[in-house]
Amino acid sequence: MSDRIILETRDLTCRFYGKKALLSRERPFVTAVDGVSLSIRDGETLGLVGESGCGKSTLGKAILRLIEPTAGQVLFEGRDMAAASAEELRALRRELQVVFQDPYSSLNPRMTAFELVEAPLEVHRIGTKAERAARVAEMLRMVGIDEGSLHKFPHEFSGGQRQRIGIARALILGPRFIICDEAVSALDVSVRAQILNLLRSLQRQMGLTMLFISHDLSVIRHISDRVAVMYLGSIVELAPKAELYAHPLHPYTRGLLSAIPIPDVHRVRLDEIPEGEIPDSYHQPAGCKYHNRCPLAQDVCRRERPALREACDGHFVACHLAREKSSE
Amino acid sequence: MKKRDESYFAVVRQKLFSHKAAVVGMALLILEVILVVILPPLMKLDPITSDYGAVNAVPGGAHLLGTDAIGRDIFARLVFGGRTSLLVGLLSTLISCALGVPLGVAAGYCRGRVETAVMRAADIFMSFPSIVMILVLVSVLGPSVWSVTLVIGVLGWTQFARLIYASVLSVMQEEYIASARAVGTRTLGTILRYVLPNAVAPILIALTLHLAEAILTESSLSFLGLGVQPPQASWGNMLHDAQSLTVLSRRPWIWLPPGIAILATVLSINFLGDGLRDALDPKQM
Repeated sequence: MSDRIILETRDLTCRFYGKKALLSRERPFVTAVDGVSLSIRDGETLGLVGESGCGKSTLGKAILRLIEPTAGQVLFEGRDMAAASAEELRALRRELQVVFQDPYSSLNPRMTAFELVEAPLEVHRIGTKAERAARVAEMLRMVGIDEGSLHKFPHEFSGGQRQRIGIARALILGPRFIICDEAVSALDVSVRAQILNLLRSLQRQMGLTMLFISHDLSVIRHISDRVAVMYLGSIVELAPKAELYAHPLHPYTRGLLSAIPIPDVHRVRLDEIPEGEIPDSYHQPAGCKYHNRCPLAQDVCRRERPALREACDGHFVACHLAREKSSE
Repeated sequence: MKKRDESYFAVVRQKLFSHKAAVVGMALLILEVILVVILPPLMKLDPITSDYGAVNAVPGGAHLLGTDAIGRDIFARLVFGGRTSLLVGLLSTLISCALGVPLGVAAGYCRGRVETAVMRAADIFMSFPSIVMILVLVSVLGPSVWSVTLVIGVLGWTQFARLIYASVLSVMQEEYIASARAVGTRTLGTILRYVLPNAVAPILIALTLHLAEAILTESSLSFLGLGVQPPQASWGNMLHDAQSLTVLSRRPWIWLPPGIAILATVLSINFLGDGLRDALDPKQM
C-alpha cells in the first residue's frame, strides 16, 4: 500500500426528490449522501460502515455513476468521473468495478456463467473469441468455479458460487478499484468467510484497491485497512482500523462498537448503544445530525454542524466534543 | 447459445407440450395453416367463379360443402377465406407488436418525458371505443384486406406497449441492470441482452390473445360489409350472407362452415395462449 491517492470524492452529494404535494411550492427531497469527501489510497481497503439507510450504498453507486450525483466530484487518478461524458465513463469503467450485494438479483438469469463473465470483455471489444474464452475460463478458475459449470445458468448455482461469478465478472476487465457493496451480507456465515478470504487473496494478486461497504462491523474489521463510519449521509469518523476499534472518538461509533455482541456474560456495555431511531430522512435535524440520539449532546451540537477534522494523526472525526474526549 | 436452449426453453417447451389443450390448439392451428396453403393449388379451388347451374346447392356432389346464393363453391371460399383471415390476423398482430414493444420498452427504460408521452398516448387510444374507431378509419381508407390489416394493427399497439412497459419497469429494478451498466454496456446492448430477454414472456401470451382478437375484429368488419370486399373471400364476409333470415334458417351450409372455422381458430389460439401462460410462469418452473 502506498500513500498515493487513487480515488477521491469531493463534496459528493446525492439528493432524491419526491413528488410535490398539492399546493406546495417545494419538492421534498432526501439527501442520501451529504457532501462526502473521502480519499482512498492505492492498494488499501477502505471499509464503509453504517446503519441501513445511512447512504453508504448510494455513495458507492454515486462514485460509479450508477446513480447520478447531484453535486460534487469523483476524481479517479485525477479524472473527474462525475463530469465524464458517456464514452469517457465507459472507458473509466474498465478501471472501476463493483460487486453487488444480492447474488440472486445481480446476475442476468438468461446468461450462463461463461456469458456473464465474457460480457464485459465483449462490451469493451477485448481480444478475439478464443482469447476471451481462455481468459474467462482462467478468471472463473481463480474464483473457484470449476470448468464443468461454465455453461450453467445462475439458478443452478448456490449463493456463494453466484457471488464468485459476480466477483469474476467484476474482475475480468482487470480493474484497479472495486467497490464491494454489501458483497457478503446476503450469504451464510460459513460462505461469508470464504468469499471474504477470496476477495483478500484476489486483492493481493491483482493489486486492487477496495471500497468495502457493509453494515457488519465484524466483516469490516476483518477486511479493512481504514474504516469510515457513515451516519445520515455524512462521514462522522474515519481512522485506521486498529485505531478506530480501539479508540473510537465519535459517540455514534462508540455506540455502534458497543453493539457488537461479545460472548462474555460479565461484560455489560449496553449503556452506550444509541437510543431512538434514525430521524425521518425528509426532516434532518439542524446542527449535528446525531444530536437527538447522542447521550452527550450540548447546545452547540443543536446549533452547529461539526465538520470532519483531524483529531489526531490520521484519525478524523466530526464531533464538537471529540477533542475533549480524546484528551481525557 | 446451445446450452441456453437446453435449459430455459427446454423447460418451457416441455411444459407446453404437457398442456393438453395447448397441444390440441397448436395442432389444429398448424393443420389449418397447412390446409389453407396447400389445398388451393392441390385441388384447383376456385372461390370466385359462379356455377350458375348449381345455385344454393346442398353439400355433396360436385360441391363438397355446397354453394352460396350466386353459385360459388363454399369449400373453396372457406379455404381462401381462411387464407385471408389468418393473414389479416397475423400481419396486424405483427404490426401491433412492432409498434407497441419498442414504444413500451422506451417508456419503461427512459422514464421521464418519454414515459409520459407514450403511456398517456396509450391511455388516449384505449379510451376510444375501438370498433367505432376502426369503422371510421376503414371507411376513410376504403375497405380492403390491407386497410383492415393496417387499422387493426396500428390501433392494437397499446396492449403490447402497456404489457412490455410494466414488465420492463419491474426488470429495471433488478440489480443485473445496474451490473450491465457498471461493466459499460451501451444502452442498446443493455436493452437487447438484459432487459428484453427478461421482459418478453407476457408478450408471447399477448401475441396469441391479440391474434384471436384480430381475427374476430376482421370477421366482424367483414360481416358488417366494411372489411374484406367480395368477391375476395374471408370468413367474415361469408357470414355476411347469413344476414338474411332465409339463409339463416334454411341454408345452414352457407354460414356454418365459416362460423365453425372462426370458433375453432379462436379457441385453438386461446388454448395455446393458456398453455404458454402456464409454461412461461416462473413460479411453476
